[in-house]
Order: sequence, then structure tokens, then C-alpha cells
Amino acid sequence: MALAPAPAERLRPVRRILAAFFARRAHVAGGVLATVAGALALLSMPVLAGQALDAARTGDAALVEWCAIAFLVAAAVEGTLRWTARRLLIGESRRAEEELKRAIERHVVRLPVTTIDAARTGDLLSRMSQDVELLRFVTGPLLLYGAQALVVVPGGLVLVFRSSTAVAIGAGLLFAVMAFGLRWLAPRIERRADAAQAALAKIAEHAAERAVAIRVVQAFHRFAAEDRAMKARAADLAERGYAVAKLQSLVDLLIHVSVELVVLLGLAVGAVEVAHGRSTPGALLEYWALLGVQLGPLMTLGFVFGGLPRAFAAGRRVEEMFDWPAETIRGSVLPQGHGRLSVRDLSWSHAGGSTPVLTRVSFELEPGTTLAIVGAVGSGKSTLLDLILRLREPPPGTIFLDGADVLGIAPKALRARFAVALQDPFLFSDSIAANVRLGADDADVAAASADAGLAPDLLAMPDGLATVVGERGVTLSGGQRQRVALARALASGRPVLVLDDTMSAVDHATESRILANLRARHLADRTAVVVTHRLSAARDADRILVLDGGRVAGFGTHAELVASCPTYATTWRRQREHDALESGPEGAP
Amino acid sequence: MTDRQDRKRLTDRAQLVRLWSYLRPYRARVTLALGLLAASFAIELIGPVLIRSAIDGPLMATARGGDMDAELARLSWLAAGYLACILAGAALGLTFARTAARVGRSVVRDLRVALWGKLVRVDARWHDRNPSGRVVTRMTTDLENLDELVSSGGLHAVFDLMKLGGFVVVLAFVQPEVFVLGLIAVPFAAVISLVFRRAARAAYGEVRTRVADQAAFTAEFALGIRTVRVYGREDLVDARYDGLNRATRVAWQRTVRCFAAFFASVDFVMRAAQAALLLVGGRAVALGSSTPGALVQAWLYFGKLQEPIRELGERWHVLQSALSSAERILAILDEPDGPSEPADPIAPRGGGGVRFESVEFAYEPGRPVLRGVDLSIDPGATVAIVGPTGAGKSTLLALLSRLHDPDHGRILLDGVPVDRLPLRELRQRVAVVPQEPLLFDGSVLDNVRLFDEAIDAATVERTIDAIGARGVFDARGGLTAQVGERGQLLSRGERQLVAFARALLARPEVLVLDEATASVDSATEGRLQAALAALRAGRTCLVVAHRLATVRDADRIVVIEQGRVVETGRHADLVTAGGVYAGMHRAATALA
Repeated sequence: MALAPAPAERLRPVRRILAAFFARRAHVAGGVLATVAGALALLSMPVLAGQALDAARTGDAALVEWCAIAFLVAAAVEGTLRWTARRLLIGESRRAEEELKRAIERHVVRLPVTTIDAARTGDLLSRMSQDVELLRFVTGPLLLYGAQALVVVPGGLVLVFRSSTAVAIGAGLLFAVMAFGLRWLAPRIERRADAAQAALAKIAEHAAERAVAIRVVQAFHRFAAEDRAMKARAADLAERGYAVAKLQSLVDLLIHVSVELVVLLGLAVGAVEVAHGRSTPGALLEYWALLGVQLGPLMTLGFVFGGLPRAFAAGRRVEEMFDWPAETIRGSVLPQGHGRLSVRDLSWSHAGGSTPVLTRVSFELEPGTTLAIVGAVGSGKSTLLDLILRLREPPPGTIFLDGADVLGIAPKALRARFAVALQDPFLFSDSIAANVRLGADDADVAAASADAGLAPDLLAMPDGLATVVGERGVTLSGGQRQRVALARALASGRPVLVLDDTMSAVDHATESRILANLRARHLADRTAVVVTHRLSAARDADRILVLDGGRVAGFGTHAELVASCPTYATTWRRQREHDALESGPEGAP
Repeated sequence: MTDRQDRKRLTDRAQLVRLWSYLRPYRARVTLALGLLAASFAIELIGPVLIRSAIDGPLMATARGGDMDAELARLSWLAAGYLACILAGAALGLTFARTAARVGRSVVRDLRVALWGKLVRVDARWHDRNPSGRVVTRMTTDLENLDELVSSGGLHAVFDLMKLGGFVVVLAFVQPEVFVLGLIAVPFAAVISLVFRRAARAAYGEVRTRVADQAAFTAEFALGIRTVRVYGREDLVDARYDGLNRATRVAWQRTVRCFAAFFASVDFVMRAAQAALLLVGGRAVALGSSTPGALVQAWLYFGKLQEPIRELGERWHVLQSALSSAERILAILDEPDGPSEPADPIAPRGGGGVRFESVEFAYEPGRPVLRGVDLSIDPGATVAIVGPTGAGKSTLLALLSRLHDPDHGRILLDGVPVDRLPLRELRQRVAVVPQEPLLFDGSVLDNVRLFDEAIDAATVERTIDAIGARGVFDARGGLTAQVGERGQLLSRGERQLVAFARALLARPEVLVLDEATASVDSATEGRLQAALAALRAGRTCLVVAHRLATVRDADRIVVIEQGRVVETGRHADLVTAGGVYAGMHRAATALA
């Protein structure tokens, strides 16, 4: 038999957010106090209504007036208290949510890039938003609804006890039946709703996939098949949606019938007590009025039953993120030198993967020279870069910067030696200048932007370098983003330049201009690694490394490789042909 | 083009009329549902009447010393009546809810099928203007909004208004003294409810924007984590995230204030009305002009008003959002289809000869892509089309299988204008292989036969053999191997083979091929070239060529520039002629 987890362990999923919530004790205590006091004011109103009726029956008009005024005052007090409670408790729950999200962001942004790659972005997003939102339920909402229900429901029954024990017990039983019925139905509805949601998601996937390939559907005249496919999916969704509605109608029925039976209890049992003189018509009105104020809190109890398990499940997913280990920061040796890069017999495969991504890769890069790495998609180019930058952990004794094993260098210090521009660069929603300045606060932004071929684009932008990227600013094209990233790398002044397919979205003419700039001002005495799939960008490098299926297929100058490396020669010829046939004679280099 | 511009303005009434045409098949059920609603309303009114009778009758009688047994018997009859009302009300409510849900789901199912039928047939240019995300929203969110309208929102909104009006009128008969209270309180509370809904919508709109901003940034930094890491600027991510996080919290807290004020004020209005009821009604009882039963009955009616008033704003919102969804859906249904079936079709003759006669075409008016293309291709010939990017090569191919119709000129297949051939016949005879092989989630088999179950697996197998790809998919589990979303589980070469098999399956007479350029590994490359040779054997072929080998082997080369044929001829002749093609050829062969 499994041991029940210790209470501390059971509460682990909610501990973090509760700590954030209770950090502002005064607000929370005030909110709870207002909730309880408001609930008591709420209970006083049915009593006053009953008193008014009995006073009216005995002809005491003055007492009727006093009761009505007291009722109005109670309503005002209750309204004010509930308004206060909601603002305090729910408002604080939003603050706790903010705190927790902040803590998660601090942790996630410092995780190893491989962890973030492995977690799909959608999953990460849902943990950082929806899950925290669900988890929030255990703070303000639970206190607000829980405290109110705990005062109003038992309190109301106690009041009924004064006039009739039988009615109080009967009503209590009916409430219990209703609550348990709702509790029984809630997970079943949720399951069916999930199934309906899945059917809807299938339709969404189908539509998305077909929409981007609509010309295939039309060119092959697949209309009848599409009609059939959608008919089946739509019918499936309709059935599942109806299945949810059927259960939902049972919920409505359960509430309606329970409430009406409680009313009937007053008429069938309570009225008999009145007839026998043991109670008054005023007590009957009080009873029915109590039902009116108890109903809301009772319904929220069902909400509490549903919300708690969801919150705990969400909390477990949130805690899982905190269990992911952050990146190592150990290592201290700072290499002295100009960027001699040595890779020795490097083999690497994904953790648990059987096929190696890189097999026995070796090369030397002299300081001040340029290395181009070429190869097809999946040949291992990006993995090699990741290993050099220690975004992935290489085996010991395989990668050396200026004679030092990169594993011995603190990652942050190691990366500070590299000026990196990536294929899918990340730009902050800030000015272009601020983005270029990312690597060095005192950078010559204008010169770097000009060398990255951004000058004509900047002229066309409303505020030039001060133009804000994204969000409510200007949206840049893929090529422009890549060139901003290139300018950032050039401006950073870090010794080793690393360009990872940085110009894949840049047109040929601009690319040639940029390459000329690089050769003239940046590559002369700087160590550089250029990853590219376009051989025209690689041909002028001092050395070219050809990767094929994770192995070195060739290493040498362009002329040597055209002569001796079949993989390189074939690709070179094909790219020339394509460029020539596509762009015509005037576009040929 | 923006979403808004793309929609045609329809008045709410015109929309409701058109939606009604989808409801018409279910009109019997709709009538039943409305009848059930009316009946359940009537029953809801009866309960408090019975309670009034019990208080003013037996209870008053026993208090005055009447016959206890007789009065208790009357009381139990009233209780039995109340029980009957409960049961009847439950049965009616349940039947109504299920009928309405059934109708809503059926209508939405029909609309979904109709909308999808339109989306696959609509002029392909519509899809160029509208991103796939929008298609998905129309097919899911917008249709689900409509379901809300039919199965809950719409009918209930009618019901709630009926109830509010009904209770107020009934109050006039029960306790004329408090009738005026209802007349004041109900509109007052209704206005609060509507005003609140507007404020809440604005507040929630702000929340959605903020949450979306925050999510967008989260996704952005997750995808850009490498940049952040290599420059060591986690501090910048922290700062920006904090700003967005705070903005989200502030937006949420605005909704909290909004809700707090709404619940407090609408409840207070109704309770103030109850206080007034106690005052006015209670005094009337004390002065003898009314009875305790009447006061209780009025109280119970007041209680029944609270729910509809709270819900009114919500229902109004559902109605609004459903109508705007309906507007978007109806606008798509009004879009013109792509090229349509001929009115008087001519049977195809067979052979595979293709002629373009002065063909002109523009995707947008005033920006011609083809400016008068004349081209004649003999049956069985291979024609290579070359030219700069944007010259109109792919467009020319698209016109042949009638993805679009030319603005001027005509295209003939074996002497018959393609717009006189039944579309299905035409598209069986002209098979297309796009540059990027587009696959759908499903098996290899599904993708080759494009989900047409009428084609059996053996035929598909023979086709795969015919392109020399026997055994290629064995390692993945054969024809039933799943290809994943957009075919991502297959390699690029494998996807290309599936696209080839798909084209060959219908045994077309004309093959339209946009040559693939990406380099793959040499083993796959050889297989693809062999498959292509099999594909082209004995067929008319139009190839947008990216390789010299293809161009050199073609029976004829057509050079297109700026929407016109500028050169045509055999490879050797064109090279000797020293024109545009000769220049291209020189560039292509001049290695380093």
C-alpha cells in the first residue's frame, strides 16, 4: 500500500502562490473579515422580512416601517462589505499571480537552452499563463466563496431551526443532495467537454492544414472527399457537443428541482406548524427569503469543488518547471588570446538518442581567419555551433578556445568572447539602436548598421535608428531582423564573430554588399565562423568545413573543395544553375 | 486586406433572415422549444399563487380557529399541486434544454459543412488574402458563437425579456401597490446590467490585449533564448517581462473593480425594491387593504426577477458576439467560387496537346502577371519553362488546371477550351506537382490518394512501384505509416515521392511540374530523378526548370520574362542564337 504523502508534500503545488498571497496579511485579513460580516448582514435580511410580515399581520404599521428601513440599511451594509471583500481578496489574488509569474520567468529565462528547446513553446506558455491563472483559485476566490458559503449556509439552517426542526433538517438534506449531485456531475461534464474540445481541435487542425494547401485540394479536385471529411467531423462534434448539453441540462434540472423542493418543504411541513400555531407566516417568509440568499453561495460551492482539483493539477505543472535544473555557472578560467578555436575528435548525440549528430569532427581555426561551415539541413552545423558556445554541453577535451577546454570556462565568460548573429534572431520591442547595443553599451551603432546593410532600410523608417521594433512599432521583415542581428554582432566588439546562416532571408544583391563590407572592415584580422547553406557566401572564406550527416566531408579552400569534394562540387554546380536560370543573365555573379 | 474590409456589411435583420434559412429544416423543433418555454413560464407563475392561497386560506382560517382537519387537507392539496408544478416544470425545462441544444448543434453542423464546402471551393486568391488562422477562427470560434446563440443565448434572451415583462404585469394584479416598484426597479437594474456589460467588455478587452502581449513576449523570449544567452542579457528580459506582467495585473484588477461594483449595485437595487415592497406591501396588509399571502406572493415573484436581470447583460453580449460571427461567416458564403463547371460541357478528346492563346492574367487588377502568352505543346512533348523569379511561370501552370481563369485569351486541351471540360475530367487529365510537396496529417496511403477511399490500397501500391519507390516506406511501416502534421515525420525526399505518386495516380495526360531545388542527399536524389523519368514517360510535360539537365533534355525551352514568351526553341538552337537563354546558360555553366 502506498503511503499517503505528508501534508507538506500534498500542499507543495499551492505553497508558492499562498506565500505570495499571504505576504500582504492586512489586506487578506480585512477581506476575510468583510466577507464574514457581509454574510451576517445578508442573513439578517430574511429575518427582517419575516418580522415585517408578522408585524403587518398584527396591524403594527410602525414596526413594519422600522423593519423595512432596517432591511434597506442591511442591504447597503452588505453591498459595501461584499464590494470591499471582493476588491481586497480577488485584487490580492491577482497580485499573488503576478508575483508567481515573475518568479517563474526569472527561473525559466535562466534554464539551459536545450531545456527550453525541449519544452514546446505552447506548453511553456500554458504553464506560465493558464496554469498560474488556475492556481490562483486557491487564494482569493477560495477564501471569498468558501468563507461566504461557510457562514451563510449553516447560519441559514440554524435560523430555520428556531421555527421548525423538521424543516431545517429537511432543507439541509436537500442541500446536501444537491451539492453531491453537482459534485458528481462536474467531472463528468468536464470529461465530455474535453472530448468536444478535442473534436473541435481536430476540425481546427484539418482546416489549418488544408487552408495552406488549398491549391492541392483544388488542383486534384478533392471537393467531394473534403465535403465527406468535414461532414463526419462536424457530425462528431455536434454529437459530442450535444452530450455536454445533455449533462448540463441535468445540472439545471438538479438545481431547479432541489430549490423548488425546499420551497415545497415550507409549504408542506412549515405551513402545518403554522396551522398548529407553533410558528408564524412571518417565519415562512423568512424561510423562503433565506433560501434566496443561500442559493448563490451554495452554487459557488459547486464551483469550489471543481476549481480545487484543477488548481492543484495546475500547481503541480508549475512546480515541475521549478524542478528543471538551471544552467551551470561553474568554471572560471578566462582564456587569453585572439580566438584560436580547436575542435578535436568531437562526437555528440542527443541524450538518449542512438544516432550521433556529430561524428569525430576535428578542425583548427587560426586566430584572425574565417571559417565557413556548409552542409544540408540536418548535417549538424547548428549543433556544432551550440557546442562551441556551450549552449549544449560538449564531452570533455573536445573543444578548446585559445588552448583552454571550454568546459573549464564559466559559460557567461566564454560567451562574452563571441559576437553571435543567429538565423532567427531575437529583437526586443525597443528601438533598433537599443537592439544593436545589446552586446556593448558604448557601441558605434551607426557604423555597425551601415556595415550590416541597414542604411537604406533605416532611411525608410519613421525614426531611423530610434524606430521601435514590433508591438506598436514597425514590424521588420525577416531579412531586416537578420541584418539588425548582424549589426548587433558587429557592434559588440567581441573577438570571435559567429554568423549562423545570418543572411538566409536577405536578397542576393544586399548579401553581396554586406559580404564586401565584412571583408573590408571586419574579417581582416578577426576570427570568424560563418555557417551558411549558400556557397556563394562561403567561397571567400579562408577555410570551408563541409558537413554531411554529422561527419566532415571536406575541409579546405573553395578551389580545393570544388576539385576534391564531390558533395561540395555538386551543390556548388546546382546552386549556380538555379541562380542563373532563375535570375537571368543580368543577375548572374 | 484587413478583416473589416473583407466583410460585407449586412444589417442585423438581413442576417437573421439568412440564418433562419438554416433553421428552417428544424422549424418543428424550434416551435416546440418556444412552446415549452411559454408553458414553463406559465408554470413558474403558478407556484407563488398556490403559496398565497395556502397562507390566505388554511393558515388564516386555522389562526381564526377554523376546522383544523379540513384546512390541513386543503393545505395538502395545495402542496400536492405545488409538487405537480415542480415535476411539470422540470419535465418542460429538461425537454426545452435538450431540444434547443439539439437544434443549435444541428444548425451549426449544417453551417459548418456549408462553410467548409465554400472554403475549399472559393477562388484560391481568397486564401492568399486570408491567413490560415482566420480560416480556423471562422470554422471554430465563430461557429461555436452561433451555437451559443441558438442553443442558449438567443432563446433564453427572449425568455428572460418575456419573464421580466410578465412578472411586472402579473404584479399589477397581485398587489397593485407594489406594481409601480417593479416598474421602477426592473428597468433600473436592467440598465445597470447593460452598462456593466459594456464596462466589463472594455475591461476584458484590455485584459485580452495585455495577456496576449505577455504571451507573445513569453513565446518570443523562449524562441529567442539563444540570443538572450549568448549576449548574457537575461536582465533585459526580466525588466520587460515585469512591465508586461504588471500591466496584465492592472488590467485584471480593473475587471475586479468592475465586477465588485456591478454585483454590489445590481443586488442593492433589487434589495432596495424588496425593502420598498416590505414597506408598501406591509403597510397595505397592516391597514387591511391587502393580505399576507399577496405580500409573500409578490416577494417570491421579486425573487424570480433577480436571475434574469443579472443574466440580461450577459445574454445581450452573447447575442452581439454571435451576430458579428454570423456576419463573418455569411460574408465568406457570399464569396465567389473559383472557376466553375461549364454550362454545356464537352467531353475531353484525349491525347495531351496543350495550347495557350493570347493568355493574360492578373491577380490584382492593373498588375498583370501574364501579358499575352501564346504557346502550343504537342502531345507527349516536354517543355521547360525558364525565366526570372516573378516572370509568371507558376501562374501559367496554375491556369492550365483552372485554379484561375485567364482574364483574356484561352487555353485548349486537345483542341477543347479547358473551361468547357467538366472540372473533374480536366483535373484528372492535368496533374500538378508543386515545388514544395504539401502533405496532410494521415498515412502515406491517405496522402497518395488524397483521402479518396474509393481508390484501393493495391492501386496506390502499384503507383508507388511505378515511380520506383517500392520499399521506400517499409522502414516506417509501409503505406499505413503516419506522415505527421504537414508530413513532418517524413524526410523531404520521401515527401516528394508521395507528391509524385499522388500526381501519377490518376494516370494524367499532362504533367505540370514545378521542379524542386533543395539539395538532398545523393541516394534520395538518384531515386527522385528515376521517379521523375517514370512520371514523364509518354506524357505531355510542362516543367518550371531549375536545373540545366532538365532544360537540356526538354523538347522545347520557353523563356518567359515579365509575363511574355521572349524566346522559344531547342537548347542547341537557343544557345547558338545568342539571346537571353544563351546568357543564362553561360552563367549556369561558368563554374568558379
